[in-house]
Amino acid sequence: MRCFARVEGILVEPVGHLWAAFSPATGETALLNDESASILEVLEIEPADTTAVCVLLSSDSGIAPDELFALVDGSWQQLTEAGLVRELPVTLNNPQ
Amino acid sequence: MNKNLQDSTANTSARRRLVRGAFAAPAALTLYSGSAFAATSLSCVAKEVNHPTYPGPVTNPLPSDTYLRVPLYSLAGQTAPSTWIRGSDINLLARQIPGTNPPYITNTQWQCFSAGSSNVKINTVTVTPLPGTVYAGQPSRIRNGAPPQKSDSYVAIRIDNNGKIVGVVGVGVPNASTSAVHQSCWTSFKPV
Repeated sequence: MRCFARVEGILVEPVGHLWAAFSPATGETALLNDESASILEVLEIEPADTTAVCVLLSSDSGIAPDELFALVDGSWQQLTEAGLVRELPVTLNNPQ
Repeated sequence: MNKNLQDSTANTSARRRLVRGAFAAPAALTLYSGSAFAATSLSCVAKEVNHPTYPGPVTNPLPSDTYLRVPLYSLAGQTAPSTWIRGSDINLLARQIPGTNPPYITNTQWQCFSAGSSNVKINTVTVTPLPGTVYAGQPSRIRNGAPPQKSDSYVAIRIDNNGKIVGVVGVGVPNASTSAVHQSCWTSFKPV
């Protein structure tokens, strides 16, 4: 399972109904919805894989983790391109 | 500093703002500095809006209509991948237009832009994509369930003179003769 971390030094601030996130890695600011900003908040705790992120967001949204999986998994590319998260060169072993 | 404002800011959490029972696709749109954007894309679009090229079967276009772009997503791995427009991208733009009406597509819906050569799965149902059709969920590859990936192409969305996003027009690749804006304008959209 791929593992992702929040890029160090990013700034996330609420802007109306959205969130502005500045990445020092790209020098750009991205506009996020609550869902993307929530993923960044989860990664602020510690790096995580998609499953772990879904478990935490499930407690916030009341939606089952497996229903969130495709949405969260599909967000890594754009969050990475925006310089907000980075994929760690290691994989997490999920205790099953 | 006003204490209430300070407390409000300190307590703001995206996770707390999530609506229980609903989770839209995470979205992130890159902003560019006002001066740079005005010098390139915005002024370019403004010029094009004055003399717009209306591509394809657009119903009753008006000179007052405006065009913005959203990214195309494709189901990578297919020989001729179908391409898709994500509803959350359009809704995110709509939320930035004060007083706008809800767009024609919801956060969780996807619209097929081109059919490709293969069927796809949407919410576990196999479908043959039809261009222009709005589907109730994210498409994925039948073989391995892979989700659509963001491509380097864009499509123009049309905003009517009431500020409502009313549809998608034109193919956003440079050189496309059907594009709503000219090649040089699309080039200025590209990230530096």
